[in-house]
Amino acid sequence: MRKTILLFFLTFLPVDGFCFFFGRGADRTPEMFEAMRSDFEKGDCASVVEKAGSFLNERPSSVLKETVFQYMGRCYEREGLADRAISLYQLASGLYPGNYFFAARLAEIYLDAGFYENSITLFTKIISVRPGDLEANLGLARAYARLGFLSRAKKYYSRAVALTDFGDLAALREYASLMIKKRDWPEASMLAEKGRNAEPSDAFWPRTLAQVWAGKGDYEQALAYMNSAVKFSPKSRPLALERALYLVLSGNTGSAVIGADEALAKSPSDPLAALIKAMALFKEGEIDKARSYFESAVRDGEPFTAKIAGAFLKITGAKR
Amino acid sequence: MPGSVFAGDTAAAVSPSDDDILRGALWTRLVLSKPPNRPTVGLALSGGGARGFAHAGVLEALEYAGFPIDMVSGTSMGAVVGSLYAKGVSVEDIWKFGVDAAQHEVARDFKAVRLLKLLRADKLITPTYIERFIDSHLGKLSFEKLKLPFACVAMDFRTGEKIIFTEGELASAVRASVNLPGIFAPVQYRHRYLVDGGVVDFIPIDAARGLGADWVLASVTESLPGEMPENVLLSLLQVIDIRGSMLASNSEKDADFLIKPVVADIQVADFEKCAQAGDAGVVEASKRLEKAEESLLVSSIPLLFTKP
Repeated sequence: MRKTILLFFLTFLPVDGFCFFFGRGADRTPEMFEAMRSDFEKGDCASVVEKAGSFLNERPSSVLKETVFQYMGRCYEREGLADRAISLYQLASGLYPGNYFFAARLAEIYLDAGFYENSITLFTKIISVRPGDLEANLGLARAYARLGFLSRAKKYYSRAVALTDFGDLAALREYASLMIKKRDWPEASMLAEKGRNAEPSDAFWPRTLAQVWAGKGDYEQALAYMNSAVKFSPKSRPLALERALYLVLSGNTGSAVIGADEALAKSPSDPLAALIKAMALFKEGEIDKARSYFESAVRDGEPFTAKIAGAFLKITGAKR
Repeated sequence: MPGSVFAGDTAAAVSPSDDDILRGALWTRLVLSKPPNRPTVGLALSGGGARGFAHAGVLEALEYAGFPIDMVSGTSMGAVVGSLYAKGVSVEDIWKFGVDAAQHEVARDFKAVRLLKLLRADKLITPTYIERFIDSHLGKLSFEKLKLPFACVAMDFRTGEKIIFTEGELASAVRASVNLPGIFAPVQYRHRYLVDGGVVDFIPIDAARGLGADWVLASVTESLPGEMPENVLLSLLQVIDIRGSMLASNSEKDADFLIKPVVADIQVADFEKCAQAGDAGVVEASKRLEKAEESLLVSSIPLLFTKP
């Protein structure tokens, strides 16, 4: 009787319970892993995440689990589940300290989320082991730059662009923009020349060189580069108006008015164009003519544009 | 009015706003201008003990932007940092001094203070290492020999008067400005007994104006003491600190622009945290830099465009 009851019990025992009493069955994890890999490569993150739970319950090998953690983390990121990705990467970093993928992804998430100090700690750790890691150097440079540590950022941007022999043009642009912000004219100039050689028809590089020369106080050279930039992007309103501003600042008010008028012809209420025209007229002593353009910039301009126009209006009021 | 700089280019990556374009161009012009084509710019540095080292970080961020500084005033730690800057010491070297002060010298004056020793001795102590630091870096310099006009503030311990130093021997004036009352013996100078100026003028904005500044940027280390002090020294420092903060809240409005590094978690005597304070200065100043530039530009507009 007892044997009958035991046989009955074993027949209807769930699989998990069977494994508990009699050990594991055939290892299904390689097969499950292949399915998840395929799903991941197809971009089917919902399926990857759904299968992950049962896969991990099968107690897979450490190697397979490590890879699945990578799939899961990337999927959480793609789905916008940063908190889950962070938890998973933190766990995986502890389990696989030699695998810098997890630390690198964690650092990138912190960087994107504005936790710059956290990302700096992680990127620095990665770079201490792998000084040639391009993404970590770029990540560290970005984190320092966003916090305002421009000299520290320069060190890592410099290393990152050297690692690609100046071939990563997106990184080169970021670095050049940072050097303009840092007012490091020799470095910005060198980077802009490299960029111009790689992209000879791109307006970004002559504009950068124009900023360098304006920063040095040479508006003649700055305008020469600005003219090149406008030539490469003739439809760009911001470039045309930046050039017109340089014209005002260099004292070439007549040409500045022409530049501003071109923008005003396309959009009569263009506040920056109105301000530039007003400043040029102001410099020419045409105070009354300037007033209506200052008023237009006060009315329609962005906050700082409106404030500058307002400051001029105060003077023109006093001069009336 | 948004619009890509590189309209029509696949590489369009930058789309500056009108304000960005205008600020960039005008700021470049302002940086190259000298008074009277722009306002004279004063930098007022508050007290705050170790927290005051945040001023070094503020200076770093200002330097990146090419922010013009024509004169400097300082109280207490602000006087130390300000005098070094006015002397022409590079911001990088001021950072190094901060680290040295933290690790080797100045902190010892505070570590040396023991309650029983103070009570038994029944006299105030002389801050040997602070004196040595100031003497070695400012030496026999006078205010007149500095590269930038400089003022620092101390208080006459007998009369409570605010004393603003702008001429004569520099080291004694700075030493007086950073001289904590109740712990360190007053500095005897020009027939006065002088102690830390933070008790009467935590942010020396009017001192900067007295030097001729039209526009003053103040760097202020905020105090939010959340912990009970552990000993008599820290209690006294905290009282001075609270008093300084009260004064600061009154005088802040006199500045044309304020930068307040977030250093409230650093104690006045935490000289081992000078680098942390400096970092906080860089971060806060960098966040506020665009607004500071805009403020100065708006104030500069008549001068930038009306004078030859």
